[in-house]
Amino acid sequence: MSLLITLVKGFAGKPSHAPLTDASIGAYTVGVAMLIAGAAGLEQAAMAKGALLAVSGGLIAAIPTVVTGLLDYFDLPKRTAARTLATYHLCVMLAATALFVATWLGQRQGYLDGTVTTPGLILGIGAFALLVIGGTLGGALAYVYGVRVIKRDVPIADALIPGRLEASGTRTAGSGARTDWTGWSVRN
Amino acid sequence: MSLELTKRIAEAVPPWLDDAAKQAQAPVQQFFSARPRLHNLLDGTWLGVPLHPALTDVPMGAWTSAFALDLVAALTGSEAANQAADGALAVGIAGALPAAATGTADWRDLIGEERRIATVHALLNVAGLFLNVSSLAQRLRGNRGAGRALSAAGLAISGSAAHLGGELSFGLGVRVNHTFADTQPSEYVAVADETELQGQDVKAVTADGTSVLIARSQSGELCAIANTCSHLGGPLNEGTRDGDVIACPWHGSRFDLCSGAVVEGPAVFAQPRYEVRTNGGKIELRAPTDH
Repeated sequence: MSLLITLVKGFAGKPSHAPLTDASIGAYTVGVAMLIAGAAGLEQAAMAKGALLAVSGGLIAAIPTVVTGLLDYFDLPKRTAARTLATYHLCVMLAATALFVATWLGQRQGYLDGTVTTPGLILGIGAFALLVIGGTLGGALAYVYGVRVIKRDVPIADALIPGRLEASGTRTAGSGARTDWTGWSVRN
Repeated sequence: MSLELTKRIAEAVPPWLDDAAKQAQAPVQQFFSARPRLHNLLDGTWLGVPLHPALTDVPMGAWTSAFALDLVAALTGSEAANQAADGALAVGIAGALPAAATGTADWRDLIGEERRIATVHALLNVAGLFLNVSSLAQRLRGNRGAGRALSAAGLAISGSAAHLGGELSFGLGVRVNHTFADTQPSEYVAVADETELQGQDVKAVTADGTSVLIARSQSGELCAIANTCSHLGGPLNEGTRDGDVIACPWHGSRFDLCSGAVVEGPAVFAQPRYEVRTNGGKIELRAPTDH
């Protein structure tokens, strides 16, 4: 069971959540771009259909994205700055997902009529704004707090300078265990 | 596991290619150093997080969507899915341009293994973009079969490139805040004698196992921030001081000596700061209480 969860979450230094977010964010972006292009009068009939298909793809990709995101979330120690930020990320992303569901429902009739609906367009733009905010918060978790980034047993500063590792004697090439923030060990 | 594979890829990069990458970095560095507003924009300094990893979601996701829509169209014969696939491909190509610009900015400062992997990452992405542009051209000419094959190949190559990009971030910590594992003492600890810090000196001391930069501001206030540059880990105490700003010796990121705020990129994260006091002739530090 724990192996299965590890497979779902991804191994140390190989998180599953981050690449999955590319699929859903990219599909939503395509959908909203098509809503805007169609509303602006560019190939409206094709854009109306394409937008719904792309948002559908985004919602499908959101399922594994939410599952892996929640698994990572519950691994974060409570009452830490990273966990607080993750809670905001979670709330904003759930709201964005709900708005994309509403966008889908709003554009459903437009798919059949070949038109971009006003509710679909407005909900889509609102959902996209939340998506950008939520995505930025998620990026901050990885890049500010190093969530799911491998922690090394030597300062990265030293690891970057050719020759300094050998000189400092902290680590010889090929040895030394490293962990990511969840404490999973990874062979070097 | 796959980090090992990535390391093998890095080792397989021929020396001439890495030499060429190194040669190519110098003019790129010069270009960006002369344009602080442009590089602050591309580095993500204005946003407070690196910009490249966020922008890459658009082409990767759009091309994944195009592939999925091609599959749907092939299975159902839906003309709507065909047109949506073409649109998704076009959105991905448009989104690849800002991703490439920010990626080039990120690549300019890398050395060693990171540079070798990032160079392969960039070359694969150029190849993937070329295939996707060719695919769009074939689709516009009505050659749907060739268009689908080209973009599927493009997705495979761009996906491999994205995998290497993920290794750079999550495996090697490129552009990850280099102070994230720093610990700060919650109670005051003595780090130096007051007499050791004269005038406009900057000095590296150690508190709780973390290297800290101490200095007096021009108004005479004692200040302390993390000494390891949040960008790629350069030692700030070896940098140059200009007023109350210290410039990292490695890539020229500039920070306020007292608040730790980024004055100029490529760094995007503020340096953690400390509370400082003097007590019995000693300079003492602790974590800020408003943290």
